[in-house]
Amino acid sequence: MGDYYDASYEIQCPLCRGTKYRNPQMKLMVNVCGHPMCDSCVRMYFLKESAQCPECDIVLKRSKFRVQVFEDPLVEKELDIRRKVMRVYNMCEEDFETLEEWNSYLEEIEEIVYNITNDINRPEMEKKMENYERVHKSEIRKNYAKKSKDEEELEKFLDQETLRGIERQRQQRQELVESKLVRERNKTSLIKDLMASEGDASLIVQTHADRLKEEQKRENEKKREQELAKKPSEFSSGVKIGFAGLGSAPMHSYKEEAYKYEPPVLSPTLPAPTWEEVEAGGYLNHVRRASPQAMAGGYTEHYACLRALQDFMSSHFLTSH
Amino acid sequence: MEEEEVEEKKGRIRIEEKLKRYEKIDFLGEGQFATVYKALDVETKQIVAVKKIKLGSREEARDGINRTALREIKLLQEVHHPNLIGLFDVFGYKSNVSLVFDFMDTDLEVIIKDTDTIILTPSNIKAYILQTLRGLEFLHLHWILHRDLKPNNLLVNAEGVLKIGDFGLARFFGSPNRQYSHQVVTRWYRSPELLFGARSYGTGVDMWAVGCILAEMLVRCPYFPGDSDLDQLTRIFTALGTPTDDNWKDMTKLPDYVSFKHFDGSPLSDLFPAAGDDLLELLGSLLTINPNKRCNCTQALQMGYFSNRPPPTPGPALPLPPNIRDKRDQQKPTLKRKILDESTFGGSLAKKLQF
Repeated sequence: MGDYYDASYEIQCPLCRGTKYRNPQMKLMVNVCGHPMCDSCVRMYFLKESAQCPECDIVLKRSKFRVQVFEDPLVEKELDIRRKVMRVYNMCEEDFETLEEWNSYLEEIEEIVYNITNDINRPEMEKKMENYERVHKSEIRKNYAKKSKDEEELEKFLDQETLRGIERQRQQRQELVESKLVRERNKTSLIKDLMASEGDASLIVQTHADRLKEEQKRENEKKREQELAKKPSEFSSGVKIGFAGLGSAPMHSYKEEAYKYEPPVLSPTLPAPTWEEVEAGGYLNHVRRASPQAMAGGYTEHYACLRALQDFMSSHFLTSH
Repeated sequence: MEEEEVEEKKGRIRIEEKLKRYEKIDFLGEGQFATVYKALDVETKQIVAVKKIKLGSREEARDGINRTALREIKLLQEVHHPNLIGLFDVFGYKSNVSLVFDFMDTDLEVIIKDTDTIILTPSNIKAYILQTLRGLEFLHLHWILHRDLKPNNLLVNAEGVLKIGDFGLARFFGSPNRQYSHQVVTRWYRSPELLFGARSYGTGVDMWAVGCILAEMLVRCPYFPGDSDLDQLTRIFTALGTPTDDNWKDMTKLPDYVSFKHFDGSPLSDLFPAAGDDLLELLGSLLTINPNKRCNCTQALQMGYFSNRPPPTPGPALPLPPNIRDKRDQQKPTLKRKILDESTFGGSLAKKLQF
């Protein structure tokens, strides 16, 4: 099948046996019980608002069907159940005194979710949830309120960010218009000067160019100052820069430096000629030429000459040790 | 007579001290000529690699000791550079000779082959090839040819330092009268002049090997994996074009020259579409078929590729195989943990699964 093969072609509706290969538009839907069926089957079976699941006979509502995201329908089912459980068990970490309590609370959630998903002690688990809901009714409501408040704040941040973006765009446009105006003005003044004065034309052009450069420089500096003045103190997510020890580099960063060639340090010796000097200085006239065969192999008389000279120089350099 | 005996005794004590000095920790590997152990130097508390040379056949041990070992000792005692393997000590015991080297955690072959866990970024490649060339430049300036460069001989430690190792084939070069063997360098990294049987050659043989290694790092598999000398040449010429007498003078005079079918070859930018222009300049210069036109180490290091962005990765940040990386991380606590320890969260993070 080569390049055209796609694993998703193998997805099959368990009811009508249709596959994605035959019907590329096919979508698998899933309901609370976690048994998938394709969208056309859903339309067929659920002509009325509710019907029984053909697999497990649970009564399902048509509106509760949604597109299956995960390949394993069990995951979908688990997600459904988890959402339901989390609606009741909605405490935060701050609500607990110790870490252990918080962890055991999370553990309890996981247990309930797992057991209901795999149909272990289902009635018991559901009863447990109901009990919890009854006991902690007020807290659950309080937590809801708190969460919505958090969300509100986040929304506020997002709004502010879009506002800032619009402001930035406006500024940029303004700058563009201004710079155009300035350029126009400069041009006309230059032409005027050229027309009016008797002096050397090239001199006038030169002074104009200098003045322009100066202005440009001043402008750039001003811009830089402005930018420095409004350096952001927050990440886009609303978290303050420098928050809780994360301000210092969060990753181990090593200093990256561009490489610059430095000749290696060799042991001290008297200066011997370099490769180029050997060639230019006529040293090669006093050594035997390399044979054509040796030359073809990458050997040249430079090597022998240079090495002999270096050996000589280093053997006549006396070090203290 | 007595004095001699005392002298001999002293020598024996010295050797026994040395035997005690290195405590064997682990068996690392066995090659054709030697067995290598990981050992602890009791005196300096340093981990070292001890290479125990096998005695070999009578022919090989004509000088009383295996020739490759002798070469290694002779040359390595003269050169000291951060990118060349360091020889700390040599000692003999009975008929064995052991060499004590820097301990290196892995080699470039392992890194190149580990395509599952290691991603080599352009910066990483630059760092590795840079270290290779700096070590090699130092060698060449001391008139030594390595003659067996391949990823397997480029050793890397946990700090990301690359050292050129295995000097068993290394030789001084630049002697006009001496004939050299052309049966050097593992075939895949052997240069065209060696494959044509050249008996006099220069630094070009090492430079070609570096070019092959660079290409191998880019494509993550050996670039010219020939299965015979002829196949090797065919592979080189099909990729880069068959040389002619115009661009390689006197090539036909080489001892084992055979004329090849004419291949046009492809431009390097087609062979390595992902490489930048500065990298192609270096690669093209290293993989020049005519040895006289190939660059030397100093020229290579001065090319734009090394000074251009991105800068080479600093050693400790270079990617390593997982087992060595773990070892490195164990030695120093990661910063992540440190931040958590110091932060106000109470020292640990609660687990949380939220959908």
